[in-house]
Parts: sequence; structure tokens; C-alpha cells
Amino acid sequence: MAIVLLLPRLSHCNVAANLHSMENLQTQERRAAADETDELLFKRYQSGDAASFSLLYDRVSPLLYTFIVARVSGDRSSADDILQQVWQKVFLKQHQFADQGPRSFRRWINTIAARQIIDARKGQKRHGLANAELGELVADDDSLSPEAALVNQEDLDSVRSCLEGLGESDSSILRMHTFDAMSYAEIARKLDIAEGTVGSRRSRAMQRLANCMESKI
Amino acid sequence: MKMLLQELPTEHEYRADWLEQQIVGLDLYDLVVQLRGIYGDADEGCSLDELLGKKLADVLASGLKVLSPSELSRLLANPETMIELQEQVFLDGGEYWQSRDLPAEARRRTLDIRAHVTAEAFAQHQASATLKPKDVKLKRWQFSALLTAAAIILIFVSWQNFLPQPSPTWGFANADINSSPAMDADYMVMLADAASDWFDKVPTDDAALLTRIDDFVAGCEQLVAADHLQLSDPIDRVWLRDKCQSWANKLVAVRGQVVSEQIVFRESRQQANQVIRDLRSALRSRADEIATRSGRA
Repeated sequence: MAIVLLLPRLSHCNVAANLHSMENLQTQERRAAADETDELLFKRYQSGDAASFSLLYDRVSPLLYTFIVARVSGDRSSADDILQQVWQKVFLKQHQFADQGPRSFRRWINTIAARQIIDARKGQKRHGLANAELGELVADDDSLSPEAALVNQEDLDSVRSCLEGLGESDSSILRMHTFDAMSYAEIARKLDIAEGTVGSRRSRAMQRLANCMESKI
Repeated sequence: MKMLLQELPTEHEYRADWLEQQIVGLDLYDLVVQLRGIYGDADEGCSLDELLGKKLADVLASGLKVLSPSELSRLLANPETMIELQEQVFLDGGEYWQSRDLPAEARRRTLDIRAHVTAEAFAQHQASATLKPKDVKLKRWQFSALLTAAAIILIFVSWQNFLPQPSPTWGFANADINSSPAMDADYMVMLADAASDWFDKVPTDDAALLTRIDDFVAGCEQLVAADHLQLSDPIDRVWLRDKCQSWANKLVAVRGQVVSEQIVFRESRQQANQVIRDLRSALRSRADEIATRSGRA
């Protein structure tokens, strides 16, 4: 609280007033800017049109967020932090952005996001290591690349152990239906059972898997 | 972890649509884990390019329905490629993908983060616009003060977000809905009645309206995630989940307008009220349709 009181009041007022005017501008220009490219919106922000920023943010962030969530094992709160860090990097490194045609802004921010995801993974790994092991953490660790370890081994083991609880016949129905694009009728012919039985056995197997997965949370 | 594969449609056209929804959704990781677990290890080094070849461009332009059933199955058998595809959609997805409904949760979370990011964008912008060589010391001091202020606002807002929020118990979030014995048309009517809870409490300012919207959207998200075993026809379940997602998105859009002060309070409340009236009316119409189908009308 003491720090808040020591801050110059003028700075607070300026921030509030300017944010308000930025939002007004945003309203006026939102429609006009709807057809602009991401690159143009970013350039406008760089050249002083702060209103373009919100539009760019709203356009890019939701899908970028889903992309980040999938890469941090579905952890929403890590993804929140990463998305915020990504935009912080965008501001800090804005002079490095080179407009190389359509979609170049997305490629640029995507690269920043990939870097932040790696950093977050390093942070998690560092968190899980004893101090003595910290020195062994190197930047080129393959397990930290964006492509690697998309699927957490623990999560995979959970699914597999649940799958083991199903009989081989039910597992094969799941596989045929999911991966071989086989209809219930085709599966029924192959296994020489009634078509209705295929549906009910698949539903039952899925329910057992679902119950097993829930029990592992 | 929710067993998403339980919802995988049997018919090809529904399957493509459902997968697209997962690709722009927040549960793609769970789906990939489940597919990988059931299928076993993928072919070594099978990338999205190798899997789809020239069809990748068609998928980015028009969605997964351009794939044949066997191509779609190969995608499912190599689930990590769906995460690659998600990235490609972000980078090069055409109008088709851009117009797909994104999850309300993603919109709400990014909207919450926007307030922090916008303050910082402005601080950076001001700093770069006002810093001059001859008075750089003074400006740096101002810039630091501005950044400190932004950081404090950020910490304050984050702290507020971390405070435990009581879960809503009204509207679609009412715990009785999930365990209700009402079936089919009766279930739809019950949901329409639950939606009417919205009008039990009239918000009188922006803050109250935001809380009301957040509570209602939380209920919508519960409906999207629910099994709806009370609906005998799977098509009705899909309809309900799609509609819930769309209603939640509409409310989140109103919320965004409130946060960014694009419209006055009375107008935003009217817009939110209208969304609720529309969704209530859609639920009742669907209830009538179901009753007609089952010969009760």
C-alpha cells in the first residue's frame, strides 16, 4: 500500500485517461479495422494507433491460447501465464518484427509462443530437480523442444492401464470403430456378432474407460 | 480427464465436424492422450505433411470434411498430428476455420488477460513515444513509475482472480439439473425454466452484470461438458451442446463490450436479457419438437 501512495498520482491519472481514450478510439475504428491484416494492425499500433492493438489481440489470442493449452498438457493456468508473457515479449521485441507478407505476424508470435512454452517447461523441470541437478539442465535438452513430449507419459500410462481393464474383444471394437473407420455393421460381420451388440459393447467399454479415468484424477 | 472419445460420432460427416471442434477447442490434449493410449505407438516420424500431403491445403481452406473416412482415421491413429494441425490452423487457416466457434472458456480467459496486456501495451507505447535522448533520465523515471503502477494493478487484479469464487448454484449451474429424472422434452423444458433464473436478480451496474454473466456462462460450460443422458436421441445432445456453446459465446461477447465500455450499461443488460430470452425460447421450441417426434403433441 505504501508503494501505491508513493507513486505519482499523475501517472495513475494518465494511465486511466489514456486507456479510456484508447478504448473510445477502439470503438470508432473497430469496424473499419475489421478487414485489415494482422500485420497492418500491428504496424498501426507501432506507429501510435493504440486502438488497433485490442482488435489484433482479440483476433489472435483465443486460438493462440488453445494452441498453448494443448502444449502444456491442458493446464489452463500455465497457459494464462504463457499467453501474457507472449504479449509482453511482443511489446519488448516489437522492433524486431519484419513484415514479410501475409501471416508474418502470426508466424512471429507463434515463434515467441513456442519459445515461452519451452521456457515454461524448463521452469517446471527445474522445479522438479534437486539443486545439485540444476547444472545439468541444458538449453538444447531434446525433451524441451516444442515437438517433443507433447504427450505426458504419466497421462498415457493412465489411459493404458484403464484399457488393460477391458477385454481384448472390447478393445478391438474400440480400435476398429475409432481407427479403421468401420461401421457397426462391418464390425459385426467381422466379429460375427449382432450389430446391436457392437454398439452396446462399445458404449459399455467407453463407460468403463471413462469411470476408470475419472477414478485416476 | 474427461473421456472425450465417448463422444466421437459414428458417422463420417459428424466425425469431421466433431474433430474440428476439438482442434479449435481446449481439450485437444486430452483427446490426443486417449487416442494415443488406445491406438498404441504411431508410425515413426509421420508428420502432418506426410499424412495429408496436398490435401493439407484443402483442409486449411475448407476443414476436415474434405478428407475421406480412411484419411480421417489415419489422422486419429496419429493424434499428435492434430496438434500440428492446430498450429497450422492458427498460422494459415482460412475463413472457414476463423469462423468456427471457439470455446467460451478460451474467449473469457483471453479477455481477462487482455486487461493486463492492454495496460502494458500502452505503457510500452507511451514509453517509446516520449523517451528523448536529452531528458532520458527523467523519462526513464516516469516510465519506471508507469510500469510499477501497471505491475501493481496487475498484481492487484491477479490477486483478486486468485480469491476463491463461490460456484454459482442457479441457472444451468443448478446441481439438480445433472441428476434430474426428467427425460427428453421434459428435460428441455426444465432447462428453459432454469434459464429463467437469470431474471430472478436484476443487475444494477456493470460489476453486477459481469458477475451474473460469468455465473450463467459457468452453467453453460457445465451443460456443454455434461452427458445429457436424459435425452434419448444423440442428435438432441449434440444440438444442446452446440447451442450452449453458442449462447455462452454470445454472453461472453456482451461481457467484452461491458469490459471495454463499448456500450452503456442499460444497453448491455438488454443485450444479455435478449440472449437469455432467445435461448429459453429455443429450448422450449426444441422441447415441442421432441414431443412431436415421440408422438406426444
